[in-house]
Amino acid sequence: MTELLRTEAATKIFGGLVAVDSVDLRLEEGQILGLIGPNGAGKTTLFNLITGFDPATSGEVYFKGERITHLSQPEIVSRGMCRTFQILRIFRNLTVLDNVLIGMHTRSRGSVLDALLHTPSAMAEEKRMREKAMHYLELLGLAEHARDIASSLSYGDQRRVEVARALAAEPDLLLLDEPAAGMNLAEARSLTAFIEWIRTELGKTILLIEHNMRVVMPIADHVVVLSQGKKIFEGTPDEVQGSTEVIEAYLGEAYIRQMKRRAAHA
Amino acid sequence: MSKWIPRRVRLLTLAFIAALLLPLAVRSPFALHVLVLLGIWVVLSESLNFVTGFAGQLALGHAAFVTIGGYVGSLLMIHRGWSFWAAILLGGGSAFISGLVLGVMALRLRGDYLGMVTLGFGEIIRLLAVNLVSITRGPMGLPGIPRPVIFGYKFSGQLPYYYLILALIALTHISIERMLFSRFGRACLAIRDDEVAAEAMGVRSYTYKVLAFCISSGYAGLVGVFYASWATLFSPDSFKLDDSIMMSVMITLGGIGSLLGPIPGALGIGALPELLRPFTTGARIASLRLAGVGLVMVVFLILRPQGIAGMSTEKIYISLDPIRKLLIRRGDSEPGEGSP
Repeated sequence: MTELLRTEAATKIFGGLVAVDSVDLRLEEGQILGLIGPNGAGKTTLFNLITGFDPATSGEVYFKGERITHLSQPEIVSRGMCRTFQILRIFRNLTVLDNVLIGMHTRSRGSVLDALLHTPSAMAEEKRMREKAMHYLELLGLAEHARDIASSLSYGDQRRVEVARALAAEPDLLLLDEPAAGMNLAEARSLTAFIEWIRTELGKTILLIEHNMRVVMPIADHVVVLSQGKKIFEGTPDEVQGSTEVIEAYLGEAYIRQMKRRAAHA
Repeated sequence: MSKWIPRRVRLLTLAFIAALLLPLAVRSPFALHVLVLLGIWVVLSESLNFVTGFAGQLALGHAAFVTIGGYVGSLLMIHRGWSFWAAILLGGGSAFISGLVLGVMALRLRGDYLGMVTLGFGEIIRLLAVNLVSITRGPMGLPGIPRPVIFGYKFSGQLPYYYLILALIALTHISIERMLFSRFGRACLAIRDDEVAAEAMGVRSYTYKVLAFCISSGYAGLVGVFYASWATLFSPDSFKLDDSIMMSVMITLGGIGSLLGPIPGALGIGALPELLRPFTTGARIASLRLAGVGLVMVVFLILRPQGIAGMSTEKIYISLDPIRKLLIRRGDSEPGEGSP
């Protein structure tokens, strides 16, 4: 297995706050890495730092063996990395199809002149893009909504539009920031199956931030736990679930003490 | 699907044919003069709509680019003896370049701040035109701008100008439509909707904003040269701040970000002074016009904030029949925010 993404002592400081503190990550091709941690642990900040949205204060990010620490977002997207957002960020006033077509921006070439002159190559590209976009919409069961305005869709469908848009960028590494946020149990379950499917059928590597353990635990090969900006634990889902450190980070020391006391009484 | 012609295109084609035939019915030079003026407003609002409505950047200095194009074209025709056709290309080009220079600096700003800088730019250009007397003859303006000649035929009267502005409208509209339904246009729309998400999809938002800005400015430059030749006079007062604001009003009333909207907006607001003319004269028209525009704005913002042609891109893709839309809007509720 080859390494796809690596961070070395990645650090992000906002004023006096160390939001991400010297985090090392390693992600291999075809893996699903779950990134978990309590609110404010720095998960999204770490995402922002990897994707070039908000570059690291210090430390390095390597993607496909290449240093990408200070590259701009568009440069990173064109190298094969695409993200979704924790708070839904689809293009609300555009059609679902256009949302996906914009996802393909870095995978197409047409210039302003091509558009003005309707050059055959540009028209052919446009046609190809539309077919491909429809293909991604079909994958996500959104084909019949292609011509609908994105904001008119249900919340769950809007989330799927965001995933379709990210897939359309043809990334090797897909970063999903809490994709199950706001979903009910059934929706979350089908999402879990879908993420697994993206990995096995489309051969994508996935970095997944998720609060919902029902989503992370069944599919992650590896889980990294962040707390207060630091990586406090790393291991398989089973190891994480048994770790006192992790339970402590989530539920607090007091809870652990209480549990121990109860255990002693029993 | 390729056989399916959008209603918008059918509507525009019909309107264009009607406009071509209009001089058969309308023969008075005064009426044609007004029609040419309205045509100028249509081109200007369509081009402003490109940067404001589609790329989402507030630009309030559009008149400055008309002025730049007008002066560059006029000077080339008067002093260098250039033909109108070469001059109009270079006038448009010079406005494009000026837009590039301003855009590269100003588009680092957003929203209201960008509006202020473009507003300031408009004033700078006006003051330059007034004070660079050795080049522009200052407030006296440049008189005696030659008329276009095509295949040995020299433009005279209003009619050829009427057809020329129709051609310019067609060129503007078709090119804008082509750009909009392309990778470039989608990138612009994405930036307007959510710049952060657009960047995350790999759209270099700054580059696209600058590009949209200078393309829009280029059209204004073309109009400048057309106006100079039509009026045979170009002065710092030909296009000024008031006109920039009037263009913003036109696209707001017509429907910002709608492909058709600027046309009814420009025709309505542009025709207002002429509609007032029977009732009053001279300077009072200007002030009554402003009062009228203010009144129309207030009424519209209360009754129909999305403009005549309706809201943004929804209109672009579905239908642009304002009346039908008005009826539907009555009945159904706005699609709400998804419930988490």
